[in-house]
Amino acid sequence: MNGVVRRLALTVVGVAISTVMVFVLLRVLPGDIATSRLGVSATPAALEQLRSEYGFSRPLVVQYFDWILDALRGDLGRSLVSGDDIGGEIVNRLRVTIPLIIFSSTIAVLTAVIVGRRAALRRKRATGLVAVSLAQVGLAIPTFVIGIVLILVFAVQLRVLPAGGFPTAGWSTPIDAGRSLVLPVITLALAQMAILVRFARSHALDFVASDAFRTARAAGRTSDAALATASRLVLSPVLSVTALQLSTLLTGAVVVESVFALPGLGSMLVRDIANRDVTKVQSTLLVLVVGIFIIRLIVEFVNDRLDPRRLA
Amino acid sequence: MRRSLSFTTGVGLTGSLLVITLAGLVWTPYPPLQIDTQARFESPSFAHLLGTDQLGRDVLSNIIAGARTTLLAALLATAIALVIGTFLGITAAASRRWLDDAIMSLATVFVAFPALLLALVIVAARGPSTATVVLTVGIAAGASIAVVTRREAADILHSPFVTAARYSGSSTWAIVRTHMLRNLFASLTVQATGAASIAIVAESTLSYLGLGATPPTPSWGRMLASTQQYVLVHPLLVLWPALLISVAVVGATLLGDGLRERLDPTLAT
Repeated sequence: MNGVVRRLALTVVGVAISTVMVFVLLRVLPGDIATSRLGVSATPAALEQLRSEYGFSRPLVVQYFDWILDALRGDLGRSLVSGDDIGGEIVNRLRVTIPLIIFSSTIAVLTAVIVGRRAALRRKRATGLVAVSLAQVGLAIPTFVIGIVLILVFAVQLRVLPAGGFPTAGWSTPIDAGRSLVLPVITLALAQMAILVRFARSHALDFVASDAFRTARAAGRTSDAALATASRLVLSPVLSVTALQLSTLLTGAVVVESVFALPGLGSMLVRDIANRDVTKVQSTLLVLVVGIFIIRLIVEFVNDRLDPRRLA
Repeated sequence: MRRSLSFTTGVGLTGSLLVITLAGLVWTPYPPLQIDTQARFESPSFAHLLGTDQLGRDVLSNIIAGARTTLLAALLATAIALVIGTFLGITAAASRRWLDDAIMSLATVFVAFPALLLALVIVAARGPSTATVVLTVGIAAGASIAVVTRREAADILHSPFVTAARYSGSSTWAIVRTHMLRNLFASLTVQATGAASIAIVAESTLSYLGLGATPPTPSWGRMLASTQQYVLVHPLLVLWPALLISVAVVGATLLGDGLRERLDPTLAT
């Protein structure tokens, strides 16, 4: 139980530090926010009105705590550009982003474990080498290029899947919605898989070199069966790396949603960044940061169950 | 010495890109920005080797001019990263405990934050520009170079030849000057290629998202973004910039792997 309390405390500290970082980068570094929004030619009266409307003239410390306390009550503030409520739009857009992230991560983790095990058993044969070098190249190619290549193959050449977009009716037309998520999910899965395969392979190789594996082989099990018993030993580090790579996964989601024109949180973030909608970017990043820390926490607890030695 | 496939391929790909970029400084088949509304969406021909785009601009000329933007950004970001990383790494290794700890914890924070995400946040605050991308990637990659360099520099400072130099009266600064850089050379070269490939990915991704190179600067990322809406009818227009970005990144990565195999004797198995 002590571990639970310690982890929760670490999570709260982590969220606090990250929000301060976001606030400093977005609000302190750029200088006067009203001028950067309205331009240098804006009248002093217009500048003053914007400042008082959003409370920008108050001390930064007060603004920071107002932002955090409002967020804790569920109020993420209003957009600097449209004046609309930020929280409502974020919830809407998560309907696309959450399925995208969950499906792609699941596919990436499972494939990494399977391919990594194969590659470890066949490390001196062609298939093992091919898997590793594919992962190497996959690690290098930018996510949006992978997405565009998939569009060229499956939407342009084979014409089996849409090149982008999302049905306006959303999930009430589940088949269309699902079809438009297939290519984005595969793209994001490939982007994550590259690094996960390397980890899965190296941990599977460790197990293949261990006494436990030799004993299982000596007792008459096939290599595959012996390695299958160790699946959780391979899965656990892969999950840890997935959790560490979450911010990379989120930037991947930002890119993928833009490539496939999906109405998710990531494409919204890109548009708001282009519009310099500072209040909205700030609150969107807050949601992402909290999400990252919660998923990390869940992964930690799952890993304790998968590999109880961690608790000892 | 063992012939390395990744080294040869990496040198080949990176070398050809450098040649194209240098050639593009003095000559492109057409001015990259020259619009010709009579010649929109032309297929590849002898007049336009890679065809023309939605505004009738010559695709080959834009590919060559785009190489300049991407490679210049990569070179500058790598230079910044090398200067920051080498300076902080050596300083941390040669300093007292508290300064060492302070530099390293700062660097670790930046290492944990992906360069692309950092660039997104800074673009939100400062507006899109290639300079922002170069600086952000330079700082982020510099932090990870600092972490590796600190470890290697500490090893060098504890090696017998440095102890010998110390006993014969050399100051710390003289040791750093004469022994440090040439012994760090191998590791820094490999890390420079890593920084370069991060920079290429970040520059092209941000330009693709409309948050990097601003019009009219020719850029592979922007070419991809502006031609993607025609992908169903004119897929070739999208293919060229996608191909070139991949060649640039894979080239830098393979060059790094190849250099690592050549320069690091412990990996030669």
